[in-house]
Amino acid sequence: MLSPRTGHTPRGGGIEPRVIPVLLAALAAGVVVLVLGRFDRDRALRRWDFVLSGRAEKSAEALRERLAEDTQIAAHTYDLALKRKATLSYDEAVRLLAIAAETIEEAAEDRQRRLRALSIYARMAEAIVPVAPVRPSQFRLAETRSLASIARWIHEFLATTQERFRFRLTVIGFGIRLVVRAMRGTRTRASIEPTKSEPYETFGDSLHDFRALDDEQVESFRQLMRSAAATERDSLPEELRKVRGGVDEDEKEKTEEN
Amino acid sequence: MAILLLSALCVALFRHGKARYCISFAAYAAFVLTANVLILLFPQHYSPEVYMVKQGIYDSLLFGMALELSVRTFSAFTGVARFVRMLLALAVTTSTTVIFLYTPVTSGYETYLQFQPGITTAGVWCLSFVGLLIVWYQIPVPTLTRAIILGFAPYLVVFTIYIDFITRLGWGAIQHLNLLNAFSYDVVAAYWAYAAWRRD
Repeated sequence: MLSPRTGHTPRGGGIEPRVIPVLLAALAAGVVVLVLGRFDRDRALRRWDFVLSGRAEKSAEALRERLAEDTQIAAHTYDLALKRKATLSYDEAVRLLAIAAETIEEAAEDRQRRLRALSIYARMAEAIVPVAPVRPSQFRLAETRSLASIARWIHEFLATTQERFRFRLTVIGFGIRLVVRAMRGTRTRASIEPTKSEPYETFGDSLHDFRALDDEQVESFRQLMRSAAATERDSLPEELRKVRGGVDEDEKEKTEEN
Repeated sequence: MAILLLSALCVALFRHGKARYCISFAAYAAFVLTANVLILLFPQHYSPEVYMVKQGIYDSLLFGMALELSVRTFSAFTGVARFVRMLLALAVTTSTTVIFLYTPVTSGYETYLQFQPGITTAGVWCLSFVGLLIVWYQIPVPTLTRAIILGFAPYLVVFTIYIDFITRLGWGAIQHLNLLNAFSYDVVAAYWAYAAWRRD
């Protein structure tokens, strides 16, 4: 950086001390303009409306059904792949397995989006009801079982229910990534050695774990909605006391999160 | 131009009752307007001492705004209020330390260029903290609150650059730099006036 007095860069090529406040101010302002500038007040109000409406059970059931639809398609395709393999139509079996894996990959992206949304809602809740850690015994894949075991151990070290809840969401998200990776592996192995049964079995285990993670996600959602519904409305600011939680708003929110 | 925009802002703040969203900001707007009018009417009395007093009040109100906005925004959310208070206390402590280190023993008009950027930067950080926490906790703040942060933060960067340029180019370049600074302030004042007149 040129200095008008000397016309040289400061010795050692470092930053001049007087430039530091300018850079720090620019950094803070840049971040806040970018983040707060994109903040949509109406969307935040809709989120609060959804959180405070107290229709937890209904919403959780709707979510469970929606998640089940995705995995049912993959499970059906997987069953067809097993049948084709049993009739020695290996090419067709590998093709169907690949389709089932792609379906789960797409569904996994949707799950990650939902988990991010849940994480936002978790910040809005005043307090979160205590949640249990993800159970390792329900998983079949070694990697997801190990993940859940380690997570259960870490869970005990976290101090607040907020932290535990957010950690639970992180574990579910990471578990989904592991399952998708395992599925990709089975697809590749099946195409190399289509006669072997191992890739098909592992795929079945992956599908099972994916469903289990879906259940854990629904449970997290249900607990979060329970926590949010318990928020004392009277203590909230005026604009939040006005939100009514109509069905239309709920639908709007769901569409947005999708 | 600034006087017209600030007048429009003050009228809107009090007419629409939006001054209650941030009393420090309303006080700031009223003070800047009064100071500008007085400078225009009595330029012969605008001495370095007067400038220093004026700047000191601006800086105090800036920190007051950051504190008031955080209290007003988060006090209702008891679950997060404690964490926000802790963060803001950290920001204020860090800023105070930085200001203490940057401020020369004899702080006056002669050394103003040395310590003012530190104070302004600390103000930007405090406001930015509040802004980022609003987004993190998804608090649907009024449009004016958002406008205060979104207007102040970039303007204060321009102001810090303005001070830095004076240090580099000397007081001879102040006429041109003043134009740049005044133009930036007018843009921000127009944005505030628009936010204050707009119905939420």
